[in-house]
Amino acid sequence: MIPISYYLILSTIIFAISIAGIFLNRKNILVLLMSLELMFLSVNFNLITLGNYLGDLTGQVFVFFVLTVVAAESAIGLALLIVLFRNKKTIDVDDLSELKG
Amino acid sequence: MIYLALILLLAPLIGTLLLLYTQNNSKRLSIFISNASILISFFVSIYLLFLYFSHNYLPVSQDVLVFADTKLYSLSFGLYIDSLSLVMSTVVTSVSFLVHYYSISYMKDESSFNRFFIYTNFFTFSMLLIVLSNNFFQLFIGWELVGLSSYLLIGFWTSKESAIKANYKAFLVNRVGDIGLLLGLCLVFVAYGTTNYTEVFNLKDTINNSELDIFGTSFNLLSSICLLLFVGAMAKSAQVPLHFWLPDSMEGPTPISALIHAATMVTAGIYMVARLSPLYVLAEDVSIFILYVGSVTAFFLGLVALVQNDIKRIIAYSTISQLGYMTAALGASLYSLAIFHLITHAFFKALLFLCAGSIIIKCHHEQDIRKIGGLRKFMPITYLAFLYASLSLIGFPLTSGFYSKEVIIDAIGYYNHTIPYTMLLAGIFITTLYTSKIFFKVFFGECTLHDRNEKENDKEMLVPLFILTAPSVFLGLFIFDSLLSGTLFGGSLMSNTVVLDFYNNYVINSLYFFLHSFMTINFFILLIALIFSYYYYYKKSFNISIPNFLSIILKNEYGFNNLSTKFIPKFQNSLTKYLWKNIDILTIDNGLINNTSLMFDKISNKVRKFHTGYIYHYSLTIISALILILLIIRIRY
Repeated sequence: MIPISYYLILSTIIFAISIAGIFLNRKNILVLLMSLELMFLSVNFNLITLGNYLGDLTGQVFVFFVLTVVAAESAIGLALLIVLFRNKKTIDVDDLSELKG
Repeated sequence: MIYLALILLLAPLIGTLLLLYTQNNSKRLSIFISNASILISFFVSIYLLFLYFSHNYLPVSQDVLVFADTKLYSLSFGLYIDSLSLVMSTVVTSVSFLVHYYSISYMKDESSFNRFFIYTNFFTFSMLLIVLSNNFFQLFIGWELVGLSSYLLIGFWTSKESAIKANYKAFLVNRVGDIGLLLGLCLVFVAYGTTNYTEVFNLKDTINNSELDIFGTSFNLLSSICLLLFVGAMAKSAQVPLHFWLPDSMEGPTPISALIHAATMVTAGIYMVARLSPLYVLAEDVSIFILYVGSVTAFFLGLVALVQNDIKRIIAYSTISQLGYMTAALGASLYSLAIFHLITHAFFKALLFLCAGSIIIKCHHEQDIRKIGGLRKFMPITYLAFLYASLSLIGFPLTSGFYSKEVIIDAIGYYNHTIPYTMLLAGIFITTLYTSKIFFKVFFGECTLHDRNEKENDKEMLVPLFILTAPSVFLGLFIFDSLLSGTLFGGSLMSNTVVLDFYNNYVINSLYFFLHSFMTINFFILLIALIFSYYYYYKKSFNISIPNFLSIILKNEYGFNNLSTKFIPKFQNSLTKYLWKNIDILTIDNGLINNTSLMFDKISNKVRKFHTGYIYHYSLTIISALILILLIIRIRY
């Protein structure tokens, strides 16, 4: 039996990787979206682990909802990305800094 | 009685309003309305005076209209009717009527003839408002309104630059006095909680010894009230050092000088102090101050008249000097004597001014007495009127001015006020000198003007001279007895028992007073002055050269003119420039306003740098903030 802490540590590592992806990624918005996906995955992983650990099905069922939302979100994100590329001819994160003061 | 008094007060106001509506109509209508309204006032005033004395009425103080009634204060319009206000309003309306009548002819060539009568009618109303008011607030309103009409009338010839400067000056100097009056009024209200005369007089003993704390120094409350109110009177009645507007105000038409700047408005200050005599009697230190101000004015400004050459300016300085006599009488607590001199002075000085007006018209607005001369042959009636007025002014025995002035000087001497007494005695000498200077130069000698009109003036101008001669000469004789015995102002002014004591040994009535005067020092001074001026001004048998520095001082009128037209504006200019540069521009504009925006600019320029627009910076901030918050919560709980 693998102890629960292993699962949680794994989930935390995934989460940390995704955050680092958001912070450190200076090139591509696509990577940013992927990092977001990873973040959702780590959260889902947490939900499943803890749901199993507590013997509560709600957490595991909730994951499906989250997955649906994630799918929708990534669809919208990709659509926005395409529109952005059409207008700016770039998907470089460093070039997208128009909202500065 | 109160309704009659209302008619007396409101007739000139109604006249003014009617004149305003008909100002584009004919001159004849204007003349009718203005003269009729003043005449109504005059007759009502005479009737009331008669009624008051024949029925022995008590003084009446009645509120006619209450504007605002709060628990703190009730603002009302009311009338105070007693012998003082009735006598005063009779003087005002009679002189005013004669001047109106005189102006018909004097102003007949003016283009804005109707405007003149609007102003004069309005002036008469405002003056009556002061005279008949029964509270301080109404007094203040009237005070400002006479100031306004004086301003309008001095600058009546709006195209004349000197007139505009003069009315500006008169207004500004009076403003200085008004500050005093207004502060006094506020203090009265603070001290008594009311501004009604009778209520204040009833309460006067309660605050007699109370003190007033200003910035840690304490003053006697009653003295401060009296002093502040007297500052107002000083400006209005042209006392040193607020007198210098009056000679300049002679830029106005001459009838106005007669009405406003000799007979009525300038005596408003005297009237006010006499009206408030129950307060002033208690403030002895202020009374001494008033006495000295009055006698200094009487003597030193009489001296200035000696070196003037403009006929109206000489008479103006003479007015200031005579007002000084009245003020000195007020300072010696001889209120009824001051009012007595006020009345006689109103008549003879108005007469003098009207004569001067006739002379000026005759000589085509030439006012320099060095150029006028030998008018006796052409203007016999004006000559006689001027002669009587002059005799009254110098206090020649039996004339009105004699009774009113002698009695003031004697009484001040009796009270042992040595310095004022000496100055007032010397004043007699000076008065005689400058009066004879005008008299001899204008009516005798040779005329250097060629284009003069060699006929006596119209009868509109002569009739007032005739009428005014009567009170100028005989009024004193007529009311002297009742004045000294206290029947005239018995109810309203303090009786002069001490003066009576002084005279009772040998003076029983006006005739005895006349005989007695031949043995006094006053008469000898007058006699010497007359002989001196006869030889000096008429025969020109000797020449006196005044020391240079003295004549410079006198010609500069003690520097008050320079002070007011040069030094004060210069000082004010540099002060305001300093304030503008250092306070306004440097401190407020640059320091406070611009610096505030600059500071915001600097701060926001720094804060702006945080706002990079990069997504990863924002998300880093969000997440680190989240972590921080979580940590804080963790540590706290």
